Amino acid sequence: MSCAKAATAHQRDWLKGLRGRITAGEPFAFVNADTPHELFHFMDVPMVTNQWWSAVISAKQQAPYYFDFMEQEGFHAHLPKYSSLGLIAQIEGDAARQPWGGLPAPALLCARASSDEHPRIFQRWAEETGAPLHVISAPAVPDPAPEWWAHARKDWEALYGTARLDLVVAEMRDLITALEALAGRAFDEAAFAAYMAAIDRQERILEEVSGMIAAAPQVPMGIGEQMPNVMIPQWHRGSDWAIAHAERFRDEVADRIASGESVCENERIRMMWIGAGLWFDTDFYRAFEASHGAVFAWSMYLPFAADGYIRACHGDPLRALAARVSAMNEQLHQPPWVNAWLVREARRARIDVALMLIPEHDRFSGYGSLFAKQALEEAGVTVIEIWSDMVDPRAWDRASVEAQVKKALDEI
Amino acid sequence: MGARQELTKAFEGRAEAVEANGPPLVGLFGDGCPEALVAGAGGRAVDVKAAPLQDVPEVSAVARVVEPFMDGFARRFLHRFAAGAFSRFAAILFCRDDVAALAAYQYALELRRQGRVAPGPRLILWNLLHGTSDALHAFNLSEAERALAELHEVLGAVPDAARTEGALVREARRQAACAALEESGLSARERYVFRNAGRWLAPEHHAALLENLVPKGIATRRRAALVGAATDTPALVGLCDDVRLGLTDLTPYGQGWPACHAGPGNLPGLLRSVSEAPLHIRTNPPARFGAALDAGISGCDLVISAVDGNDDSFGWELPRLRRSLSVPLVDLGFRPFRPDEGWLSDARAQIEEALT
Repeated sequence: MSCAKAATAHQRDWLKGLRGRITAGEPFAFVNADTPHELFHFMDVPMVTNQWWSAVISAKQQAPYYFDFMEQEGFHAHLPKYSSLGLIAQIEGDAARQPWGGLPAPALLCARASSDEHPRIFQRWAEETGAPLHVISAPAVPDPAPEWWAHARKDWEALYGTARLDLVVAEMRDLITALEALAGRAFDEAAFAAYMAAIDRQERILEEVSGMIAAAPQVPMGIGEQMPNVMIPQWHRGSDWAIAHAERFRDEVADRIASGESVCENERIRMMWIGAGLWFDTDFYRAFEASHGAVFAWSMYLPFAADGYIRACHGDPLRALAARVSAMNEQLHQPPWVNAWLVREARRARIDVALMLIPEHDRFSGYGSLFAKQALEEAGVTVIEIWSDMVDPRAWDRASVEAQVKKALDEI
Repeated sequence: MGARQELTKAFEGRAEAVEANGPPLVGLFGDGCPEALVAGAGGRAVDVKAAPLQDVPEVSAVARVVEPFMDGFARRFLHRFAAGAFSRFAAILFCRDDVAALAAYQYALELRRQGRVAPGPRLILWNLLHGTSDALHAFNLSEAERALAELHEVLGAVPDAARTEGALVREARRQAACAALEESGLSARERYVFRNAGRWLAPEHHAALLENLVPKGIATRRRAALVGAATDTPALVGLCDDVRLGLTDLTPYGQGWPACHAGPGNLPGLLRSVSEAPLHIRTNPPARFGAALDAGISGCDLVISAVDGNDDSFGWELPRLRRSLSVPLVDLGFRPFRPDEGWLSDARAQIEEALT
């Protein structure tokens, strides 16, 4: 897709600029993926996301070295990997081995206590670098409504709970104070409201794309192309470029569908990829097209742009942001949220087969998997479990997993 | 039956052996909810996290949805729950601050929502967070009031300040008895069993039994700190007795309970004292835990660490500890949920080697 190339080029240029700012000594923040990035973007504080940095290191095939080092250092082998790769690279200390020649010490660290490793990893990072750490609480929801997506856009106060939102807003205000000091300017709440409205506009465009792909006779693009077209504008969400790119993406998808283009002319089996990306082997996504006409029609990043992000402001943009952030990761991993959403999505996208990534040493990401499997199977979807980490390839046996998937596809 | 026998019987019998012949039983999964609040609501708190010493048969509806990496306490609880082990209970409170409790709560709730388990006790989330900020305390108070309202509803009781005050007095007596137990000269294994037995005994009865114990001295040469993940048996503690080590047990079933429930009589003050206890792996800011751990270890001659195979929190502390300690660290690695003789023998050899 031409817009995928444009997105990748934009990201490359943007990263070059970010790297330039950081290596020139501009203060930057190192943050977890489920923290309120909107605040950093809005305050123009450069930001590196922990899980993205992990994916970059993994894509450069450096993960095995670092995870071997991690165990030599005395961290046990069952600790989560996706969120720790950057920390381990930092501890290892050879900047030349890392992408960008490594990261300088951040000026601020931010994590969310959505799983037990995050505060501990970021505390280690704080000790390594001396950077102050902000941890956003992740209290649970006592009575989680299965169809969260039906309530989250407007009725989020009742869905997530007033006490919970009060707490997250208070913690974000502390974070804003720190960002104001870094940026040297005050937080403008009125301008932030406009920024939040722009983000909602972008997510609605991506929702259109999601609907178009789900309804198209054949899958117009692979998830390998879909992901950059979603994730890169999401990275820059609410910016003029991101909205314009989402529109270009939508238009190109519409053109493809209108002209009958498809990833796999012999499309017979529609699949969904459940979980984070398989960042060290992204070619895997296309391994079953020629042999079985099996094509991935779905990954979470596109539909989650709408369901996970659109939040009506109701005159309080910071509270709307708290509603977006306060259960972001949980909706993808905890019952009943994850199983109910995946069944709805499978039906919407006419899915036949789901490949489910289950990382056994990243417990938070792995929880809820078997509830989701059961629910999908009861909805008529064949589920294939892929037991693998997202960034640690040491136990990955591509040939064996391909054989496992092909055997299941043979029976469809 | 003597005090020792009765305490041991309660410890080994767990929740399954508690008789429902008094106030309605209320299960507690985790240590974040002061037990006096349960008594104040008209219930009797009973620990449901610690599993029977012999595993119960698995229930297929649970086995189908529980991932193999789920916390051992949560997995065992879910099988017990589905098998009806808690059908005599009026409610179960799941303490969000316990590392296993949230998954146990969510999975139990979902199994029930899907109709895969029989009706049973009301499932209530005790959503307490650990930390020091005013916003966090306001959240804790709001969520405690919600959970207690649910508990009052299911127990059919109205809030009664006098009942709660009485319960706090009984808890204070129990805490004093537990504090005396720690100074009694009894072995670490006995102290562990006799103190934790109270999780399945009414506080005044627990206190009375402890007060009847006759101290018996045990000479210890050096002191070890035990750190790591939760274990509900005294196997490792007993090892320290065997090699004549005094013990500072900093693990979740260690010296914390029931002192972790101490605090003033008013609800905000009580919650604040629980949530501000620094030796909690989920406290915020996270640095407080490391500082509290270091303080607890201070003065010990040896540190012994063991974690669960599915640990994702304490393991981040070990390299830091190894670098900072001036005494030996014995890292026993992954501890089986029920350690067998082979594992204990290896552990003993490692501890003895560190002592030489």
